[in-house]
Amino acid sequence: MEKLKFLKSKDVQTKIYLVLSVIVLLIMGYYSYMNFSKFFSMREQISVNEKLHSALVSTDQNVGDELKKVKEEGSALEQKIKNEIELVLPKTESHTSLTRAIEKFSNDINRVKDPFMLSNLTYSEPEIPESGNYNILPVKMTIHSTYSNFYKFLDFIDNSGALSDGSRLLDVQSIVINFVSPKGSEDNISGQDEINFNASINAYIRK
Amino acid sequence: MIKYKEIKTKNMPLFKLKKENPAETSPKEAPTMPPSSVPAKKEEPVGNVYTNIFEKPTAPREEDVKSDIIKGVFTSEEKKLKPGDNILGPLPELEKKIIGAFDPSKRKLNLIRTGFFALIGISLLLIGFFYIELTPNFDLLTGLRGPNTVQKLNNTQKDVIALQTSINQKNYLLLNYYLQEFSYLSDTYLTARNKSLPQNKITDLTNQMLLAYENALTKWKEPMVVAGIPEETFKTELKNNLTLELAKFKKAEAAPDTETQINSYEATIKLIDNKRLSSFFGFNTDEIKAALPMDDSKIVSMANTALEMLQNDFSTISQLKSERMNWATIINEIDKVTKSVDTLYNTGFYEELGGIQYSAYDLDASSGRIVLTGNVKRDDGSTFSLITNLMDALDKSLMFSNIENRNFPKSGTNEEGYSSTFRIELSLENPTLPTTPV
Repeated sequence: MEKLKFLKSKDVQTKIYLVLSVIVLLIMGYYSYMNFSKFFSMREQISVNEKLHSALVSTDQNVGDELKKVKEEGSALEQKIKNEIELVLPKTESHTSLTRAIEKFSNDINRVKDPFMLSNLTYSEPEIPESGNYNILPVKMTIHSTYSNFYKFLDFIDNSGALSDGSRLLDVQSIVINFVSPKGSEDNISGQDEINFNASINAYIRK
Repeated sequence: MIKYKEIKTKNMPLFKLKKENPAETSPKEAPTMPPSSVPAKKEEPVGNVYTNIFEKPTAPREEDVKSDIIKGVFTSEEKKLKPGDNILGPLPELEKKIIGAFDPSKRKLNLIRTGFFALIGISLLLIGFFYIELTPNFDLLTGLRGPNTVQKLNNTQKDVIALQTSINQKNYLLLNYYLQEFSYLSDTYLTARNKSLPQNKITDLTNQMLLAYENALTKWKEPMVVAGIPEETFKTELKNNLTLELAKFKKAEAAPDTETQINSYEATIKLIDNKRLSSFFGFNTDEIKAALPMDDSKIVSMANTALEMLQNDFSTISQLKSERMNWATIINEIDKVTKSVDTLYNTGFYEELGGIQYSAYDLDASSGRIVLTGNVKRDDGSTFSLITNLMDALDKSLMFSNIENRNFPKSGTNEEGYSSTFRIELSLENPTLPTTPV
């Protein structure tokens, strides 16, 4: 207790207060500097944000007008695309329309001296591939045809899936061709190789 | 500066103040006061009326009393007091206070102490101010003065993000629209070029493609980020907005354009993270415009890039088309190779002159294997050589590989000629490669 008596001295107390004041002043100076910097930077950012917001309002309006205009003007095209995609890659099996399309092609090229006789058409159950946004509808067909009509058939498959003509997308997976009546053989009436072929074809269904 | 000791000895009139206040007089001092009740002697008048104009006071004058007291004190105290004793006794309380007020060290202490506490006060005010202004969840005064600075900053930032996200959403929907248009035109172009359409139609188509590309590019270049906010924030906000809108469309009752809107939103969501967009927009439109009409290979490159990179129905169709095996080319190549070995192949003279005649092709895309079965006929009996020549010719074609035929049967006579059957298996190497003359 004797040792603490010096604290009662006014000079010592003065010095203690002075030191404490300096410490508090330093701490508060740093604290105030940091917080005022933060505060004023925030105020500045608020002002920037407010100005930016008012500038963006007009941009939003302009882009909105453009989108509206494009939707109005492009709705016909969008509808057209939608319809064509539905024909090329339908959401359902649509095997009735596909059957009609294949038969129409067959009838269009089938001639007495240039036969293309579709004798069988079988649809299997749709398959779900591991990847891709589509399912597969397998189709098997048996056809008696000349070699040239066979090429026409391959062209028909190769050109299928064009949006412009809305033909169903098809793909030949395998073909087994049997040359049943080669050119020059007795029963050959077309004057060219006549074949029987079995084609396994994939039609596609949109997921 | 007057020292305390000097004040003690020189400024003695302070005593007067004390003495003037009888209430504060100490009882010890009371006996030193002259008794007011002492009877005064009445002197006999001397001289005429002018000799004593004033009546003499009956009580002794104060000065006289004082001088007597002082005298008494000095005389009596000199006898009783020793050196070092206080002549006047303890300093009265009032004087201590007054003297203290003139104490410079105490004054200094007071000043510093006041300053210190003022500093503490100011500090507390500052801490309070910053707490109120910079605490995000401080809402005690929100009702009175609105949001504080940090809340206001957050609010304005949220407003900016919301508005920029709305702009981004519209820009991306437009970008998707223009890319869809470009994809459609690309598909049309790729179909048209195979069908040898008139040049004016092709030119018209390429101009439309270029316009759609430029429109898409403009939307692609629109800034997505503002006010130094990270791009990821805007991407996340955009995805959330589009997903919410998409969910609304899916929940809504079927309307004529509902499916179109759903498709459009789904494709737009996929566009946000599509890293291939930047490579697609690497085509320089100024260069393309300067070199119009566009080169077919460049258009095909642009068209294929667009169809491959986009994850929409066009890209699905495009992908399936690109994976499609071109059987006509493959069969043509088989015919071409066979003709190079047997010049009379497919001329209708097999029965008379012999040569190669196929009985079946078995083509399988999934395994990439082809099986060719048939017969060869030669008068000189070199049927095996003809089969091996065919195998070598097939092997030389860039389209085929792994040619195999391990069984060589032969039958016939010198008169009728010799014939063999074959079953050649081969793999499809690259059906897209151009055929090579053998």
